[in-house]
Formats: sequence, C-alpha cells, structure tokens
Amino acid sequence: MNRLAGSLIRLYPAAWRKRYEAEFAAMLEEVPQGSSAVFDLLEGATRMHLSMPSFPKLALTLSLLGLGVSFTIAPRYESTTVPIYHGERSDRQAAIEGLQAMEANVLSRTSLSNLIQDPRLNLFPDESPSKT
Amino acid sequence: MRERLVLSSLAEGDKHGYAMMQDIEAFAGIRLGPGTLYGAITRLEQHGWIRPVASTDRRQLYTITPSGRLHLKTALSGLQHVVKTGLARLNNA
Repeated sequence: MNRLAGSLIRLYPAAWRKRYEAEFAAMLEEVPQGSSAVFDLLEGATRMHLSMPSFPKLALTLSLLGLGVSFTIAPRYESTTVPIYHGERSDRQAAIEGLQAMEANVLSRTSLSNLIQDPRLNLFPDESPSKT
Repeated sequence: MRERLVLSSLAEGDKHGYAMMQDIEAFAGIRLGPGTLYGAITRLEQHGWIRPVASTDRRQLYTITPSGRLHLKTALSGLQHVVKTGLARLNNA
C-alpha cells in the first residue's frame, strides 16, 4: 500500500477504521493504485462519514430540514383583542351588543379588504398591484 | 446495485475484497473502487446479509448469509420481472 492510500484511510471515521482498517489496508496492497482509486477512497470516506450517526450531523440535518420546511409554510397573521368592561352592571347588555356590532363591523368584508390593501400595513408585499 | 453485485459474487463462494472486485469486473463488466466496495461490504454486514469468516492471511474473507441469499433472490426476481417486461415491450413496439 502506498503512503497516499495509507493516509486516505485515516480520513475514514474512527469507528469504521476500528473494525475495517486492517483488512481494508490489506486489500489496498493488491489494488492497482491510480487517480481513480484515490478519488474512490475520498468519496468512500465522505459517504462513510455521512452514514455514521453522530449528534452534530443530526443537529445540522434537522436544522436544514427545519429551514426548508419554514419556506414551505405560508405566513399567517393573527391578532387577538381582549375587551375589558368597567361600566355599570345595568349597562352590560348594551356594552355586549355594542361589542358584537363592533366585531361584525371589523370582520366585515369591506373592513378586512381595507386592512389588506392598506399600504401602511404592507401585509402582502409580494401581491401588491404594483408588482403584477 | 453495488450490494447486489457483491452478494452475487459471494453467492458463488467465500471471497476477500480484491477477489470480489475481480469477479464483479468479470461477470458484470463493472470495476468497483476499493472505497465503493468497502462501503457496500459495510452496509451488507450491518444488514446481516454477509459476515466475515476466518482467513489464513490478513485479507478478510466474507460469506453470504441465508438472509443475504433470500434478499438477493428477491431483489433479482424483481429485476428479472422488469427486464422481461422491458424486453417484451421493445419487441412489441
């Protein structure tokens, strides 16, 4: 086995070398050495690293997966309001009716349309009429 | 594909790595590099489809296991069906 092949074996994962290094080195002594064998050893070492489980590789894979998934999910806009009533008990029913009317007004087609198209809010920049 | 070549080689009898490379080149016309071959050997051993056997020298002999034979038979049967279908369609075209 030439020195280059010997040093390329050291690129393999330690756990793999512990099991296969001796027999792999013995085989390399018989294999004709050349540039294709060198590239094959480099590719083999890379593939072996990718196939061996390890926490950093798992963390990197999951991070990239999460990043990919984040691009596939459409953005959602959510708003919550909690009205607190401090008036007299006798006015409570009138206040509830007022809030219901206000809710219907805010969630009306006209109101939502105005919110979506309001340039100050810039809710859907990719779908603005100027980019058609 | 590489795993099937190695299993097909070992189906004939126990071999060490370099003998597998020569055999595969002879019957399939494909020269597997040393890294590619040992990648396949590693995966096959992990699956339990091949196992090392005692050798008289530093070169490690491998043998195909009964589950390896079954896996190869199943894989080649599927391949045979694809080849047969493809050839029949070519002849009918």
